Order: sequence, then C-alpha cells, then structure tokens
Amino acid sequence: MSAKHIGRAHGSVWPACLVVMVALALAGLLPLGPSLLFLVATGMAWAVAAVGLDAFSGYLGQPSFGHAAFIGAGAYGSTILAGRLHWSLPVAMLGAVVAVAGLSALIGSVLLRLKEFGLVLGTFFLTFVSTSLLSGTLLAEWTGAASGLQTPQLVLAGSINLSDGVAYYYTCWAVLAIVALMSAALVDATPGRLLRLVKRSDAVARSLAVNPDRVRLATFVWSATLAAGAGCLISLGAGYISPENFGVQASIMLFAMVAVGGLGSIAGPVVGAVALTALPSQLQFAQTGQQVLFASLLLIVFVAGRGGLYGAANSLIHQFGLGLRWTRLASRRPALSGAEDIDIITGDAAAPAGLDVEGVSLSYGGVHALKGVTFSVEPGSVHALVGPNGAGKTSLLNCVSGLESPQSGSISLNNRGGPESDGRCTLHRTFQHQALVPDLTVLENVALGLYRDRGRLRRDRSGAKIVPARARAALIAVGVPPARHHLAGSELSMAESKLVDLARGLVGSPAVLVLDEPTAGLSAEEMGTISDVITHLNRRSGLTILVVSHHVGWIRTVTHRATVLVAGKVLADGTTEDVLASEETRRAFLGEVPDGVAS
Amino acid sequence: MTSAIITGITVGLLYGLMGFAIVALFKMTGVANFAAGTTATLGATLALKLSDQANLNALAASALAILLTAGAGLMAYLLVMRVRDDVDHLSLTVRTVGLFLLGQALLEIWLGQGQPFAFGSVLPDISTTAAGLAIPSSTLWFPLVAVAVIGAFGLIFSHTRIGLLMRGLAADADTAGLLGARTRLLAAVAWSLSSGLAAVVGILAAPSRLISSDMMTSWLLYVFAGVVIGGMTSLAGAVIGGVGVGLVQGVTYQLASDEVALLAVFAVFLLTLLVRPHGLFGAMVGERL
Repeated sequence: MSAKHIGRAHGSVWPACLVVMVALALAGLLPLGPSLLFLVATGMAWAVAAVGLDAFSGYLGQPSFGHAAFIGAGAYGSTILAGRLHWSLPVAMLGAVVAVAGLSALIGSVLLRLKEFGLVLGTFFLTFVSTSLLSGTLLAEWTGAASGLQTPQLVLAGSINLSDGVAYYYTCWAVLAIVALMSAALVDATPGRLLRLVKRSDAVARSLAVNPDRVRLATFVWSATLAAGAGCLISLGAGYISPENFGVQASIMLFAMVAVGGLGSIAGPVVGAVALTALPSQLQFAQTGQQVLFASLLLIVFVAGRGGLYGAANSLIHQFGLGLRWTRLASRRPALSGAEDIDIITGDAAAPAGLDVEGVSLSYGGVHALKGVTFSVEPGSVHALVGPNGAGKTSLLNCVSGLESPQSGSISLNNRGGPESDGRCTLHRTFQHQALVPDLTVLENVALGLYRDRGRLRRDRSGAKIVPARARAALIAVGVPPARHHLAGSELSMAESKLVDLARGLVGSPAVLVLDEPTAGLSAEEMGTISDVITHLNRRSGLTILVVSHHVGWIRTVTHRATVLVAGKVLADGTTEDVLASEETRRAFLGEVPDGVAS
Repeated sequence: MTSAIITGITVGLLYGLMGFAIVALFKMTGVANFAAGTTATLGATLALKLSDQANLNALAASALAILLTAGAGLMAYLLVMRVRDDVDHLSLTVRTVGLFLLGQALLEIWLGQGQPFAFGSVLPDISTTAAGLAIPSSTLWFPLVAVAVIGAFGLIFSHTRIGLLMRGLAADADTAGLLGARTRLLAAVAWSLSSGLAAVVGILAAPSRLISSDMMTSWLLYVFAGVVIGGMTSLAGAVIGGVGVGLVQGVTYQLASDEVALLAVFAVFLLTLLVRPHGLFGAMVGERL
C-alpha cells in the first residue's frame, strides 16, 4: 500500500479556527477603509469555498481545479433566480445552493470514478466547460455571455444594506464562522476521520465497513455546496459578475488559498483565502508584474511549505514551548477508568462462529491465484494458514474478508454449536503491510474498528463513551501503553503499528478474526505478546482466529489446526502437529512443488 | 465534412505528439506536466523572436528555439521539481500548475502588445489536390513529423544505453533507483526531451493558432483528454487518444460550434473512463495489501 497523498491533515483544529474567527471579527472594527473592508469581506466569502475544498483536498487528499465552477454556479444561479425569475434573494440563494448540491452529486457520481490524476484533469475540464457555457452563446440569454450580469442587493428592514460596507462584512463573517467552526467540529468526529481513512486506502476502508466511494461523493457534494454558498456571498457584494471571475485562474487560486493556508487545517485555508484576496491589491505593482509575483510566491509555497501557514504557525508555537498547552486545550479527554483490560473486549463478544470455504477459485487475468480451495475453520479454534510466498494466502484472505469476489465457490460464516447469535456475525481482518491511517492518532485508528458497530453502539445509551474506552482497552490488551495512544499513526514503528492494527481488528469483538502475517518483522518478545493476546482472546470468549504466518515455531505454540496452501491449492489440512510433521508440508516449504499440485 | 475529418486528424496528430511528450515524462517521473502547453508556447515565442529580432531563417530559428526550450525545461526541473523531491507525485504535479501560472505571466509580459502574432509555416509548402479535395500542407507534413519524432524516440529507447535506463525508470522507478540508475539525471534528461518536443508542437501549431500567451491553454485540455483516454501510461495510447479527440472536436466544430466541441470532447472523455476507468490502453495498478 504505497498510495501517498498531498499533505498531512490535522485534527483538533478548532482552537486555531476560533482564534482566526475572533481576529476577523475584531478586524471589522478597525478603520480599514471601505475598499480594504470590502476585500477582506470578499476574502471571507472565498474562504467559505476554501474550507469546503480543504475537506476534499486536505482531508480526502484529492486536489481539484474545478471548484470555481461551483462558485460560479452559485453566483450565477442566485443572480438569475433573483434577477430574472424575481425570487426574493435569500430564497434564490437557497435555491441556487440546493441546485448546485444536486448537480454536484450528479457530476461527482461520474467524475469520482476517475482516480487521482484523472480526477485532477476531470475537475480542470469542468472549469473550462463551465466558463465556456457562461461566456458562450448557448446560454447567453440567461448569463449575459461575456458581458456578465448585474447582481441584486439585499436590503433588510428598509435600511440595512447587506451588500455593502460593514453589514456585508459581518454577513460574510457570520456565514464563514458557522461553516469553519462546524467543519472544525466535524474534523474530530466520525465524518472527518472517515475522510482521512479513505485518503489512506480504499481497501483498508472497505475492511472496516466503510464505503470509500460514498465518502468521496459525500465530500465532493459538501465541498461543492460550500462553493455555491461562497458564490452567493460573492455575488451579494460584487455588484457585477462575469465568466472570468470563475474561470481556470480562479480555480487554481482557490486551490492556492488552501495550499498557502495549509492543507487539512480548516483555519489555514481561511487565512489563505483572506490573504490572497486582500494582499495583491495592497502591493503596488502593474497588473502583469503582480501576476509574476503571485505565481512565484505560489511556486515557493508549493515547493517549500508542505504545511502552509498553519504548519508554520504550529511549529512556531511548538518552538516557544506553547505546544503542550495548545494540544492539551485541543483534545480534552476523559481519564482512564482503571478497569480496562481485555475483559471489556471479551465480555461483549459475538457468539463463536466457524468459517466454511468451499471450492473457492480466483484468477487475475491469466494468473490463477486460487484453484478450488476448500477447508473449514472450526468455531472457537485458532487456525493457521501456511504456505510459501505466492501460494495465494493473501488472495484467500481478501476473498474471506470480502475485498475480492471469487469467480466460483462460496465462503460462509456459521455458528453451529454456539448459542443463537444476536444477529452479529462479523469478521474483522488485519493487514500484512502497514495499514494505519497516518493522519489519525493511534486511538482514533483503533476506534475506526468500531465503525461497523455504530448502529448498535448508538442504541446503547453510553455508546459515545464506550468507543474511546474500548479502543483504549484493546490497545492495552495488545500491549500498547497509554502514553502512545495520542501519537499519530505515522509516528509508530512497524512492530507497534502491527499491534495497533491487531487492536483495531479485535476492538469490535468480531466472531472471526483474520490476521495476515501479524508476526512478520516482529521481535521474539513482540511475537510473544501477540501469542498471549491471541490465546487469551480465544480462551476467554472462544473467538475464532484465522492466522497467516511464516514462523513455524510460533504457529506450533499458538494454533490448533492448520491448512497448507501451495500454488493456490490445499495441500494438507488437519491438526497443526500433524500438518507440520507431514513430509508433503516440509517439501513444500523447502520450495519443491509436490507432484499433482502444479497446474 | 471530409475536410473537417482531415483537419480534425491533422490537429489530433499534434495533440497526440504533445500527449506523447507528456506521457513519456509521466512514465519516467510520475508527474503530469500542466505546464506542457506553456512550454509549447515558449517554443513558438522563441522561434518568433529569433526569426524577427535575430534575423535567423525560420528553420534555424526553430531549431534553436527547440534547443532553448529543452534548456528551459531542464531549468524548470532543476529549480522547481528537483528541490525537495521526496514528496508524492500529486504534490509534484501541483508544482507544475504553479509553473503554468508563472510561465503564462512571463510570456504575457514578453509578448506584450499586439498579440496574437502571425507566424509562417517552417516547413515547405507541399499542399496538393487529390480526388477534388484540397489537401493542406500541414496534413501531409504532420504525419511525417509524428512518425519521424516517434521513430526517433523509439530508436533511442530500444538502441541506446540511456534509452534502456529510461525504460527501466518508466517500468519501476524505485527498483531502477535501487539498481543504481541515476534517477535524477534521467529525470533531468526526460524534462529536457519532453520540453523540446513540446516546443516542436508549439512551432507546428503556430501558423494556425497564431502566437499569444494563451495560444495553448485550451489545447492543453484536449491534449490531456487524449492522454487520459489513451490510458496515461501508454505512449501509443497518447497518440491514438490525441487523434481521436482531434477528430471528435473537428467534426463537432464543423457541425455546431466551439462550445459544443468542448462539450462533446468532455462527454467522450467521461464516457470512455466510465467504460474503461484506466483508459483504452492503460494498465490496472493494484494495491498491495
């Protein structure tokens, strides 16, 4: 899993958002003069879109050069509805925002099937198409083509003109404050975490019962909706709008606001938007010289500052020793209750289940990874899956955990021999390679393992408190001490991240736990911790565990039964002792493929 | 209609040639160069200035312009792309958007008043008439140039040491680096070659596009559309995709308008990727679990 994405997204950004919004509220009281006041107000209107784009680019990790199209749609939509169809302006704005949300859902469901670069280009294309439509002859009757449109003003109670001066300033401020603080709160809640999970990997997200396509679409619609809202605000104060306000340059500018401010920080993009809107006019340069200067500055930010203004401010604060108080302020957390250990996890375990794999075949093009694999994992047993590299072990686990669909055969969970299940018969898995979300803390990573149980936990009254408590218990159970729980996923060693992945697998008390190479790269001591956890879980709650490992000695001490997979076929199946002792298994491990197995 | 098809294919060949330059660079460095159109404009501008102000003949001016643009590409790599290059490919791609903005702003100043400027064809006029149809000179020249350029690159890739290293880099940059290939040197060569080729396209397009700072901006869109339709990693796909886009654009332009042509290409782009998410000739890239 080498997918890498732009920037690092931050949690706990609300203190910074609060500081920035208070500063902007106070700035409105300063004698800025009408033109600067208007520019800062317009900057705040753009910031609404920048905060939306930050969700998509910073937290989901997908650059877009298309969001100016949605700003334009909001601006033109509200102006046309109010000016031509004579709707009242607030209703027209609401109508435009709702229409853009619907439109973006439609566009997104097609465009988001493109990945990474294809999507960057798709969004780029979108701006061209929208500019061409706004300035062209097809819709000229409505859009006024290249000459643009006059925008209506909003006057309250006969005298307060929200389109001008201080009233416009605080209208923009109020909308931005709501949007920014709401975004900052969402960042630390489940939606914000899901974004960073999907940014990490589609497969890991799927294994945690998160549908990455839906997360992407929801984020796209959210960002487009905020962009449309920004468009309404911009047209409210602009007096006049024309197609080039919302063209490719504007799209790049919007992305630049987010990047300059700091991707994935909410507060940063707000500052970036205000700065990039208000500053250029304060620099006394000719128009062309201004563009060169702006482009150069942007390039420097793209090359040098990965964290943008937010990153720079953050490291400054840390340098002056204020960091500790800052982060403490940002993440108030309940103290450990003391009674947390593995029993919290096992106490609520699902009924033990077995796993039946029946004639499963899987091929990638011409490569037959699995050829009719059949075996059973007994309820309540610890079952090893062994075999040389390329035998198809991970392919089989992908089929078992539903990441891939076999061409033929069936895989079913059952709970024969156990009590009636409560409708919960789930299977969780861990990954062979590093699979943590680098932008989330260790604790947040483990809490994602409870996402699939959110419905059940919500019905439970104390659900909201249970999640962090269980996540902490699971971490302690696998031997990750509390001091490490608030580190970022990217700060862990390979061994520790494997332990955290294991905690994420068992935190939801699954009926079957599937572990892909939990011991690879671990020291003897760490392997001992893992065997203790597995044995304890299995004894206490009868949890069924299917484990892939290369350490024969470790398998002998931990597992009851074993299946040997060679070249996509089952070579041996039985008790671990028998299987490991058999001549066939030894030959397979020494690299010979026994007769009759090779295709 | 036939002439619209011929024009479409002719322009499409230039899209394809520029797409070839973009894909070659993408395969070796993982960067999709949004500044490629600006680079082509730079090539055309240099050729114009050299022939007007330095009184060189058109062919010599163009050859020098191509070399200078290759040098500019090298500078862009050294000053912008190579600095802190241990980041992901998407971040590097975003830098080329910054290069695009900077290049546009500088070209706007340099070209100044009086845009767009006319620029004659560098290649001799060989237009002819066949079966009652007037066949313009460019329709005959562009396929020849495309074959010559692609053939030359093919020979470099298959018959030289650096070509072998480049193919290694394109197939698996990490492994090539571990085996001792000097990936940064190769990336510098790739940036120069790709920029030089973009200049060729700019000079060939100049007679019909006229030279202005934004002469290639809308082209970049069509070129990228062709590249993505072709599969992003396939050199042949880039050329075929470019010709396809040129054809769709030429025909819809003839039937309706520029606006409709843009919408049509966008529709073809989306439909192709809905049916084949990795383009027509693109490779599926799996995730290691």
